[in-house]
Amino acid sequence: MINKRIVAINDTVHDQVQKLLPWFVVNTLKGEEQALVNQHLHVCPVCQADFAWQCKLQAVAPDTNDAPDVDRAFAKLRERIDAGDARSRAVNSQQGQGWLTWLSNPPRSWMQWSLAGQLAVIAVLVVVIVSAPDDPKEYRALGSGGSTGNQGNLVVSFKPETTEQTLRTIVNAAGARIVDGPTVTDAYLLQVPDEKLTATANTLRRDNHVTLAQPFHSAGQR
Amino acid sequence: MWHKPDGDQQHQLETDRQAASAAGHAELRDVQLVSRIAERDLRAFDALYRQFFPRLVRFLDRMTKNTAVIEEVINDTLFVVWEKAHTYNQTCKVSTWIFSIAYRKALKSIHKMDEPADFDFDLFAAETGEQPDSQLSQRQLQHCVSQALDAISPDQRTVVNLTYYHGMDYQEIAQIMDCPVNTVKTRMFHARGRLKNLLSKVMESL
Repeated sequence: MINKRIVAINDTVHDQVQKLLPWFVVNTLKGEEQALVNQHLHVCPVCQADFAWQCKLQAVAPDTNDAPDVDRAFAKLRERIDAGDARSRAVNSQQGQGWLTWLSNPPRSWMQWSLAGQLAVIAVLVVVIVSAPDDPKEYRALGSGGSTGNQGNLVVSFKPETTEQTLRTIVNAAGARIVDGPTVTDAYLLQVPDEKLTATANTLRRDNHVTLAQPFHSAGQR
Repeated sequence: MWHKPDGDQQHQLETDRQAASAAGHAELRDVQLVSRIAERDLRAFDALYRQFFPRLVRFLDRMTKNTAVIEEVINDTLFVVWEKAHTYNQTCKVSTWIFSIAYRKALKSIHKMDEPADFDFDLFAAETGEQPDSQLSQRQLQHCVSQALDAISPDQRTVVNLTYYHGMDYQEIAQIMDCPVNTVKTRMFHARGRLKNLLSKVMESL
């Protein structure tokens, strides 16, 4: 029983050593593994023979074919490296220094100038849009007219036979300005300075072509 | 009975220490070269190229017999080293990093070529059996070993090649082949069995 166990342990060591033996031959084992193989070799004729056989095999290095020429091979690789470096430089030049190159060598063809012009216009538009102040648009209801300064304050109507030329002459002479009309009743809305409103209305009433001249006050002016 | 002569043990230890020191120095030099290459130093790249070229030729020669392909794979490999030197983070040896790139490049090339290695077992037996073992010259022995290596699987051959003829430990080989350490050990174990059978007559003459 004990003998069998000892044999089993020894077999395990033998198997271990068998697997490690090649690296004992080339002296790359270290520490415990080297000690294990060295110790086992003292007592195992099979491993001793194997060790000797492997040493012989190692000594007879296999023959080799004609080796390639190192100088020629290196020259080929240098060409490859140089070509790769040249490509890298070209790419870097295009990517990193493109604008500097463009500025130092202005474009000559019309296409390049055209492209440059378009780029300039786009740049200006972008600047204008970005720098424009916020301008909340004033809300105006339909028919509400313009600003306060443009609002009419005098309603006038003329005889039907009054020509346009005569109508303009009368309005201009009164120092008024037409801001709307004619309405469905052929009336016009005039705008005159408030301080002259009554006087202007009286002047217009005295004209034979005028049938109505009525001052008109908006809600804000009352 | 296995024994190392006691008188030589101290000498062996000293030799091992010197070898380890030399290996450490070589690794430090490789790391420095890669650092300079990361800064686009062509002289450093030239030095590294010429240092690894013969090693990669020997490694790749066991994977493909095509000289043009070997040169192409070496240049593809070292071009990656030139381009990616800044990514080398020293988690493995420089040689492990470079060999792992070469291994992947070689597998791709071989896959593209779709040229299975042709090995004639009968011819091999005839060549080695024609003359008495004692008459085999060193060159013939090398040729026989070469043919025997061609007869085993590519994975087993790579492990044998990197172990015996490049002196790499099983962890480095696992990194290069991108597989577990136990797989490396198992491949080596089976490879030795095949090689012993193939070289049974030849090896007696040594």
